[in-house]
This record gives sequence, structure tokens and C-alpha cells, in this order.
Amino acid sequence: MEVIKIRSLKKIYNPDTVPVHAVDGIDTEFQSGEFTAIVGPSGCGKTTFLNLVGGLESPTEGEIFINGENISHKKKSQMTDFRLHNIGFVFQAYNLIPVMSAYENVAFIMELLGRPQSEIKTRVMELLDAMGVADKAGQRPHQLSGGQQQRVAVARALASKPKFILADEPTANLDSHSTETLLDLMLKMNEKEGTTIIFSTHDQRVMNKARRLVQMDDGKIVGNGKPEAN
Amino acid sequence: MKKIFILAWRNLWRNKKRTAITLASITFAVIIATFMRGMQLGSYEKMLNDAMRSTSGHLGIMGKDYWDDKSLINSMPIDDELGAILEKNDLVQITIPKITSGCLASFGDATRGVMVLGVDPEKEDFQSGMKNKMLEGEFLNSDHSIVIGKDLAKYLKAGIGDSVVLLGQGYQGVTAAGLYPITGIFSHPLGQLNKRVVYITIPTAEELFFMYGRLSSNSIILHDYTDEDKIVEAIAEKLDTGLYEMKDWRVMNKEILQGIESDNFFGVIMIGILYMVIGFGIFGTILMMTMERRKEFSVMIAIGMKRRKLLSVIIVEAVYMAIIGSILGLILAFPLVLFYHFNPIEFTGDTAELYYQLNMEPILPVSIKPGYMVSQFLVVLVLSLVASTLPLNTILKLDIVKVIRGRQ
Repeated sequence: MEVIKIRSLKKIYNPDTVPVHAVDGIDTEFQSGEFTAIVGPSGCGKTTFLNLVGGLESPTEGEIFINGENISHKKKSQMTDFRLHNIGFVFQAYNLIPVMSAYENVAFIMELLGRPQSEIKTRVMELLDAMGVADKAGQRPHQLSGGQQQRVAVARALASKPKFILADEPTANLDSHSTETLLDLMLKMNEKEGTTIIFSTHDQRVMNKARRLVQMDDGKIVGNGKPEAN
Repeated sequence: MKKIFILAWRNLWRNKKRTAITLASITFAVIIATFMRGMQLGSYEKMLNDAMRSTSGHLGIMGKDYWDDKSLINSMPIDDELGAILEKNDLVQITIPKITSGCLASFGDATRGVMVLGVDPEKEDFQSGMKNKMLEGEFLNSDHSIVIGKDLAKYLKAGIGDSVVLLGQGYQGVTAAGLYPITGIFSHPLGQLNKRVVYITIPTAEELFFMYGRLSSNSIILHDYTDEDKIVEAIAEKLDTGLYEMKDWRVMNKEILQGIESDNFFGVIMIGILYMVIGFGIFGTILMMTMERRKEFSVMIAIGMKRRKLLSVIIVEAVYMAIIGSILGLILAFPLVLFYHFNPIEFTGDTAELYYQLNMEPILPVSIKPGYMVSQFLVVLVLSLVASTLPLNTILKLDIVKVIRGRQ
């Protein structure tokens, strides 16, 4: 089933001065349950593409359909609500809320959604357990290692059972061991929860774990298919 | 909703030192402002109380036109029925009848213009505690005698037993003249009274001014001045407005109230400046707290937290600071205020003399009325809310993509 459909997507920065075509006419789809890596050199438009799909930025041209709903022209406030209900995010720098414990960080989105405490407790502990950080539930981000923080961030992204998760270079700040562990856990959750996961990377080891590779260059998709080494 | 309060509370203590410094500045400002305002209001209360207790009373009944022209021709006949109503009314503490007129007081070669007050000794003592202010002799223990202030006695070079001539104009233009022995000399904290006032009993005044069955005024002192309207209502029907008129303490102390108003204006400006400085402090803290968390806020918005909710976190943080700072300030200021209420600051030297000349007791009590303390709290609360306005704008205009990417 098609979760994301993208048509003639363009993002041009500084259109009136020095136009930068960060995303330059992309047409693609992402199916439910995919584990896709967006790859390409720095500055090729990976992050902008993810931001557009995640509704963090508005496209200059083109359309993005999430589960058949066109999100290209939604207002900021509508998009915030849409993201809350449909999209999970994992950032390169983890970006957990420092004044909240690991448990609270994961529970936060469910609380924003107004889910009952009993459901939140079960779901959060289940996710933390699955990500191997259940014993860190009461600890604040600064008490966790980078790898542990990113695992909590993945648990946070999964908490609301979103349609898909966007992860922008989730392993860029991790050592190889943590990278391996995190990707294995993400794959496991992808299989277990059936959540579509799209992540950007330029790390070959990470690309090897992906089930689909979308190659970008100069804002365009230049390759699309299964990774050779996988 | 609960999460917003928890988040705000934790955020407040992320930088403990900064929060502590901001709270200390709010606390300190509230202490200073409370004490300054307390002194100011206390001095006004004292001023009005002095005036009401020693002269005007809370309400005054007087002859028609007496207020505008305080001559005996405008004095009023004694209304026994009205007097009885007032005596019986539980809200009335006491009524104080007076005959007041100017005279010349003369002894030996010295003469001075004085104010002769014909009073009921017991009631006058109740009103102004004259028995305790006696330096020599007693306060009006008999008719046909006078009690004078120490400065007047000094000026006239007269003492107990000496007879002073009082010469003036009586009721309906008759000559008022009499020779009265001094039976007491008083020392009043209100300086002018020592120089200018001569006390006699009402019967003596009636005889001197030839105004039997008449009074200049009848002051009413209430247990609680807020019952003023009830008394006005109670006697309104009985008061013959063709003969009498009634004035409340505001009218009778108009000059004092005007003075208070202008002094109050400057006092409020001073406190306003103090709070403005504190307001900038609060603003700086909230702005810093907002700017340094822009990335965190951007992430929160990205994962689905509405900006509106983020704004409420900032507002709650500001409110927390205001509440903690001002409550701490009030808790610390209260003992200070209480101490100086019961142990007023006493002025000495030239300042005291100035107070005496203004007919005021040279002390500065601090008011303990809760109203002005609550208003300090409200002012800080409003200030904090205002100070959080600009940081709120920062959140509303946050470009979350740029911030997350570290480009803003």
C-alpha cells in the first residue's frame, strides 16, 4: 500500500536572488512497511527532501500525498497537528527534551495526543524494552550515552504508531557499534510494527542495511532500487 | 495541561544560578516596594487619623454655611433629639461637641491670637488624650478656667494660677471678654496646638461667646469609618437641612487628601521605576531562557507540539518566577512591615520640628493593610506576563528547519 506519493516536487531557496534548487522535480512513492535509505553526497538535497515529506517545509512546486491526503498546501498549524498524528521524527543530534526522563520523552507525544495514562505506560515501557533501554527509563538524556539517547529517540518516534518515520542521518553522531545496534533495532521495529521508515545517510554500512536505496544528486533522484550489497 | 506545569517548573531550574538571581531581584524589589509603599500609606493613614481624631472626626454636623464661614453667627442650635439618636447608635463611638472661635489671649504685656476651643473635657480627652498631655495642672477640672499649650504659656510668660484675658467677638457680634485662670498647661505632639490653642469647657464658652444652647460643630467618631454611609442614612431624616449640614472626613480634610494625592503620585512613580528595572531583569531572563532553547522548541514543534502550548510553557515559567519571587518578597517584608507598624520610625531634630509645624506627630508608622501588599504581587505578575511577550513572539516566528539545522 502506498503511504507517500510525491509528484514534481521542487524546493527552491532564494528564488529572487541566487536560486538554489535543493529539490528539483522529484516523483516517487514509498510503500507501507518500507525501510528506505535516501543517500547521496552532502548538499544533494536529502535533508530538504525529508523536511518536505515531513511537512517541516513547504514545497515551491509539486505535491506530496500522505495516505492520499495532499499536505503541500496545509497551514503551519495544520501541519503541526498532521505531524503529531502521522509522522515520527528521529534527528541526527537525538534532540531529546533535556528536562524529561527517557520515559517522559517517549510518553510526551502520546500525552500530546491525549492518550490515557495506562495506555501510555504500557506502550512506552514496551518500546523502551524493545530498544534495550528499559532500565534507563528514569534517566535524563545527559545521563545516557549517544547510542542510548538515539534509541530513546527512535522509541519516541514510534510511540504514537505513526504512518512513517523520517530519520535524518540518525547514525551520524554514533560510533560503529552503536550504529549497528541502532539499525538492527530499527529494522526489528520496522518488521514488528510494520512502520515505514525513511532515513538519510551517506554511510555505506548504513546503506547496506536498507531494503531500498534512493540515490539523490543535485536535488534529483538519480537512482532507485535495492542495495547491491544487501 | 499538567505536563505544561511540570515542564515549566523543570525548565525554571535548568540554570539554577540564573533563576536564583532573577528570583532574588524580584524578591528584593518586592521587599523594597512593600516597605516603601507601606511607609507611604502608613504616613497617609497617620495624617488622616491625626486629623480625624484630633479635629474633624469621621463625620461633622455643623450649622448651615459654617463650613464656608466659620464664624459663630453660623453656629448651630443643639438638637437634643438628633444627639440622642447618635448616642444610641451602636456604630457611633462618641460624639464630640465643640465651640470654636478666635480670640486674643493676653497676659501682662504679651498678647497672641489664639483658637479657643470649648469642649466637653471627658469627650475631648477621649478624642485627643489631653489628660495624658498635661505638663502641669489638670485638664479642665472646673468651669471658668483655661488650659493652654506650653508654647503659649512661654510666650505669655504665664503659669498655673495666672489669669489670662480672652477677648474676641461672640455670637451675633457681641463682645466676648473674660478673665480666666490657667489650671493646666499641655504639651501636644501637634506643634501648632501648643502655640495657638486655649481649651475651656462648653459652659464657659457659652458664657464667653454668649451663645447658650449652641455649638460650632459636633464631630462624630465611628468605630469603623466605613460605616459612615449607614450613619448618614440613619440621621438623614432627622437632620433639618435648613439649619444643619453634614460633612464627611474627605470634605473636612480636603487639603490633606490633596496633599496625599500629589505625594502618592510621586511615590507610585518611584515604585514604578523600581519595578521597571525589575521588569527588564525578568524580561532578560525569559528572553535568554527562550533563545537558548530555540532548538529544543523547534524539535518540539517538529514532533507535533503546537506553538500555542509552547507559549503557555513560557508564560507558566514567567508566572512561576513572579509567584515565587513576590511571595518570598512578601514573606520577608511582612515582619519588617509589622515591626515598623508597631514601632514607628520617630523623627528628631529639624524633621521633627517640621512635622510639629505641620501639626503632625513626628512618627512614621508603616501600614499593614493587606491591599497594597496584594497589589505588589499583582504588579510583579503583570510585569512578568508583559516581559514574556517578546520571547513569545520569538516562538511564533521560529523557523524550525533553520534552527534544527543550526542556521539560525
